Amino acid sequence: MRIRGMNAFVRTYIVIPLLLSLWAIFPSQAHLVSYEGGSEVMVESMGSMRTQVSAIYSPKWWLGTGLVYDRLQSDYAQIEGDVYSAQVAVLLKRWNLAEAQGNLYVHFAPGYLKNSFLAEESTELIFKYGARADYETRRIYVAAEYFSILGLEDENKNKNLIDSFALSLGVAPYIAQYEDLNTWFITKVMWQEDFKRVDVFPTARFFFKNVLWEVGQSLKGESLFSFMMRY
Amino acid sequence: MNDQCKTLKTIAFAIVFSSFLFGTAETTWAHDHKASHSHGKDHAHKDLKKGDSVEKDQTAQANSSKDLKNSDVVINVNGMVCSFCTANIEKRFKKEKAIKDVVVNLDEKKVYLSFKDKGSLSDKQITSNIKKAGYNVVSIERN
Repeated sequence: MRIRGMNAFVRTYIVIPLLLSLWAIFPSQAHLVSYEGGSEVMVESMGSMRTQVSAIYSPKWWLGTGLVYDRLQSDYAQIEGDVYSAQVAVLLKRWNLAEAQGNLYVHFAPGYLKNSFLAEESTELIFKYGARADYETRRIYVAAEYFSILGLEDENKNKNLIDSFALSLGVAPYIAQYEDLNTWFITKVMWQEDFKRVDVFPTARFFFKNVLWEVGQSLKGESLFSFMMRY
Repeated sequence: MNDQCKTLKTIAFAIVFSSFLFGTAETTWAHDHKASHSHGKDHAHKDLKKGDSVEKDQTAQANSSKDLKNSDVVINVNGMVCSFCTANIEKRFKKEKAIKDVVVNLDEKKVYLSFKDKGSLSDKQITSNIKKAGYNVVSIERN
């Protein structure tokens, strides 16, 4: 969009795809807070690994509260089952710059797990927590996130059932205006410490007005889809 | 091998799809003119007809910028880099009864407000709304 004086065909079908293929791109996870008085709903599916549904309300611009449902698979965690939790996210610091914005969040969510990994289904209390930092301009996006689920009962007491770190990098192939369809190419790399597992998700993220959706597939073949609406 | 093929297909699709978007984005810069316009200004580019050149539309945009300069308040805001998040500003102001129209311009980093007849917001109210949307006011200009 901003590259002037270049043949449109060459730019569109050769230069940009080449740049994109050279630059691994990454995604922006949705912000954990909305705006004061704002709400958002989100659905995210990561193939056979994890499915998450959440509804978040922000009573303050720096605070997000809501309910989250996670469906976890044993490939991804040391557990398999459904997690229901009440999440609180706090925007600790936001840097509003002329050409960029940076954010630092922490989030935690007490809840319970219906574990179906064992032959006999069990229910136990858990505690989700994590932190996230991101930085974005209208062209690039970088984010790092840590996320964990701590068991609180029985044999899982004080045990990290999930312990993951994710790094995301994204690039916008064109500078979109306020009322345009926005496009981002994002690559998210996830590390599962216990399983020494690494997943790389190249994705394409789109948003228009208050609706955001993202599609992708990991290098291991896991599909990713997410949808979010803010209102 | 099969998984790798799937992945390659996905990446190829994403690149082609993005290229398509990229290639058509210039002509859609000024948005789909049949689509509803939130700001309701007298847009010269509303008259853009099928087959009109992009240059004509760009001229129309320049005209619409002049219209924006006729708004009641211009707010310079820091941190506006994402339209999905910047929509928070529009949502915040549209909750105010005094507001007739809100226009966000990411290039200029400005928010334009138009008030209803006899309506107005103080600088404090404007700053509060921007803050509650998660942004910082740099300056407020009144026309």
